[in-house]
Amino acid sequence: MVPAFPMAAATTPRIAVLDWGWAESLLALQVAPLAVAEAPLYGDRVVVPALPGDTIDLGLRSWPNMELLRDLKPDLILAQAGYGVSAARLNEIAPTLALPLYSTERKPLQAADDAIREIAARIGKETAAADYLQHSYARLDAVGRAAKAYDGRPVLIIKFADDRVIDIYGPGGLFDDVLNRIGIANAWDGPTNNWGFATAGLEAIGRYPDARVIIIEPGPSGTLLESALWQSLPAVRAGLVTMIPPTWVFGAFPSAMRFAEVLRHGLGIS
Amino acid sequence: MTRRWLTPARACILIVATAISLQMLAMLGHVPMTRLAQALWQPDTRAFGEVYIHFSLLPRMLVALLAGAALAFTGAIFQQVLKNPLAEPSTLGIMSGAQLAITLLTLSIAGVSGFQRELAGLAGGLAAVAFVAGLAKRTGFAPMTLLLCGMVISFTAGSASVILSLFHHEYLRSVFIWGSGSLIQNDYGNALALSARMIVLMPLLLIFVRPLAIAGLDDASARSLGLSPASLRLLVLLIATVLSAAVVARVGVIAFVGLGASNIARLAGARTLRQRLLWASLFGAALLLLADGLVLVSAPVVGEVPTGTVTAITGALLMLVFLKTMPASPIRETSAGEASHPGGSSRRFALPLCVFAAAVAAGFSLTEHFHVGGIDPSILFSVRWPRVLTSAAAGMMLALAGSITQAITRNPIASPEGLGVSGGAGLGIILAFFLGGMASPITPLLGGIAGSVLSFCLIILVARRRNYAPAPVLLTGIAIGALTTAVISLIVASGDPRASYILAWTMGPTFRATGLVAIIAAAIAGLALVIVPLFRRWLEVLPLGDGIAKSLGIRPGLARGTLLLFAATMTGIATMVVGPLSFVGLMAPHIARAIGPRGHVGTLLTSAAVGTALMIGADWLGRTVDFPYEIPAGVIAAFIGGPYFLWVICLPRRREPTVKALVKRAS
Repeated sequence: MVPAFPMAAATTPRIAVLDWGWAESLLALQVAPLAVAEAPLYGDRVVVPALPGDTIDLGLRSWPNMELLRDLKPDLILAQAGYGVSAARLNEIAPTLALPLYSTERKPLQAADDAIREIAARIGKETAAADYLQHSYARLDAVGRAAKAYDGRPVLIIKFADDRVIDIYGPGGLFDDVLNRIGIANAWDGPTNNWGFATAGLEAIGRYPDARVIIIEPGPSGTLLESALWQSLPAVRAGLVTMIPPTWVFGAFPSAMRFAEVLRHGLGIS
Repeated sequence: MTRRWLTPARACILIVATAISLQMLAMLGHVPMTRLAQALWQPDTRAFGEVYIHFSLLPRMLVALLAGAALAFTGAIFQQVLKNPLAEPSTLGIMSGAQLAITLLTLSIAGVSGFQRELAGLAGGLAAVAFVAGLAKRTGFAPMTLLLCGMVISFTAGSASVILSLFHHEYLRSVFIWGSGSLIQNDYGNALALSARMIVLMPLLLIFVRPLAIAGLDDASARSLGLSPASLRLLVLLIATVLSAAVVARVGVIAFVGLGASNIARLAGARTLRQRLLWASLFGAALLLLADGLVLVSAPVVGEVPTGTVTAITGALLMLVFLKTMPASPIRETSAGEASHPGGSSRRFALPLCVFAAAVAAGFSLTEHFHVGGIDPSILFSVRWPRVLTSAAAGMMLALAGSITQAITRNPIASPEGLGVSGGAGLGIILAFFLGGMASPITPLLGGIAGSVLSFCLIILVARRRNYAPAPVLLTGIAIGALTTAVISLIVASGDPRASYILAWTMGPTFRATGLVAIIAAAIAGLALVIVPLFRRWLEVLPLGDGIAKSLGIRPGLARGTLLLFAATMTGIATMVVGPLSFVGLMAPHIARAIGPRGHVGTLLTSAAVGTALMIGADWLGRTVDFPYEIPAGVIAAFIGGPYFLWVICLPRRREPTVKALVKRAS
């Protein structure tokens, strides 16, 4: 383990981030990253916590600009293990932390917890991380207690890829871990890929007549909403459809917290 | 004996029966047998399973039947008008053109309606056909020229689509799903729209295509419609394009149905145009229904695969089979002779000039620091030399492979990309990712090598029985390219976060190059440069014809096989570095022939120098134009190479007699 930066207390470390999950984790520790890959798109997709306006764009997450990275002379590079440029090559430029999030462990929430602690340890922000996590878990537990008042229906978390195809989030995904933590059952029992989601047609919703359908915005078009097919879905007929604002689906701890909050709001549990 | 029982009608009934049983099987997963009839005609709105069958599965069957019939019908029309058994909407570039136009539309406006999508698809499809037909017109629509033009259009449109998806992956998911040809329906909208277009356009096509079918295309019959044969032909092409573009825009990219259906109709005994149109349409409808039935039945086990992907993969394989029945190429006698190029002492200096240009480009690329002023020049040099060296090596290898491909196929518009080895390498890299994961960079490298070797073996297999005649070799390449496109579109449509990483890998980012990779690539390129002069005699004698070659003691098959192996290896290695999309292998030999010294070795060396300079330049441009985002060097090269190809085709007679000669002989 490389020791924490000696100057961490005095000056802000220069951190370049190649993965949005670690960018939001860093922001949760009250540290602004120097540069983030695809920083403009982050604003559209992850939304909050927002990046400072002067964050430098590093190019594609899958294909960051290595020369710019070198030019910035960062103190630390944060990457997701196993994606894009190898840690060995990044280490030639600056000390690199390549942390797993979606791995064979299939426990992204735990991985996000471990990662935020490890990042904090590296930049001397252990107290901030402990505070953040303690506060977050307390908040999750509070949502969990409030969820006892919820009618107990299992939920189906979906996102429309287009009008015909949906992604359904299940085991191995961040949202499923959050549901487990707050004690709401996930209706989806089908197989999921490495990132904890499955892709299917609308008939997949029909397979779970008792489930409440949670749609991550943007929702389907007006034409579909008026169609006989949509109208005959058991959840639609029973009025069990809830829309929640967009949340980054492959994120880390802050995304998990945001999901918990929008879900709480969407389900009307206070 | 086979002929007697295998009539078109029986074959068709067999396919339809299988398809319908598969579809029924899929439906029974949603309602009990006793409710099936009820669900089909009058579903109980309270039972989702019944509504699903009535409003999703039934229109889906209709769309499969209609789209299959329309694509096969237009395929048969294209084959008739262009006198080319392999013409169909995808080989003519209509599908790629429509896809690019729709991708651009989706990026520029939010919430694209079905009608807007159709307009964009139409514009893209028409543009593609206009290009292909315009270029091939000079050759009297010679089969090979048409297919090659279609391939280049598909390649260029495809490379634009890939680069857009690399940069806008997050916003294009719906386009990818549409592009992969998913037949999922939520209402009868598409079925109605398709039948409306078919009811109007198909009879119209029948009226106009009839005179074209009459042997010899006599003017009288055409004039009876008040049109010249040429404008009649143009009109038919236009209407057929409109119909197929409508299908593409409504349903998605469903490649090869037209090809498969009309060839099956022919094999099953359809002889006249009327028979071919009728049976091709019926077979097209039946085949797409069958493919979709297979998709539906296997969905619970393997997940829902887009039907278009299934037809593209099956179709590409079918195409390889049909190559055996394809008539020998009419362009076999063409030599890539450069005798009529203007001579002059300047040609002697071309090679040193090109080498000098490459050196200047390399020096500039290694030292400029417009965007990264903070890096010490010595460090800048140490991090840049591997990518500059790999780009140079890849450019050289592609140029050598291109020169040799053009010589042995005796076709100046052939390129190593057209050999299918690049496509095969790309496919291998992708498969390696899914089997071996992303942890080690060695897996995709091995996958790429395996892919290029396998596709090379496939080419040998097909080409060998045809004594390495040019047409089968190039067509095999087109088929492998189509296979790669199908697999890539399947991956990007899946929403898998790995998609953008895989796209980046297959495009061969030069930034990835390490010192070791660069040295190995350069060593191989250097070795190739030494070997190439040894091929001089073969390259000189082979174009004179197999008879002369044999009389001079050369075994044409062996010579061509060796040259092919050399070209394939060079292409395979270069693909690892710059991806499958560059046209350097096409451009460099042309430029070399235009400016360089005569004789094969001189041309080869000049071509290598040109390729090196081009690739170094492309790498620098890609690094600079959209900083900090990097555009793959191969794609930059393709943006230059695509238009260059078109320019070569359109050259006036006195400047490029080769193409013209080819063209004359081909028609």
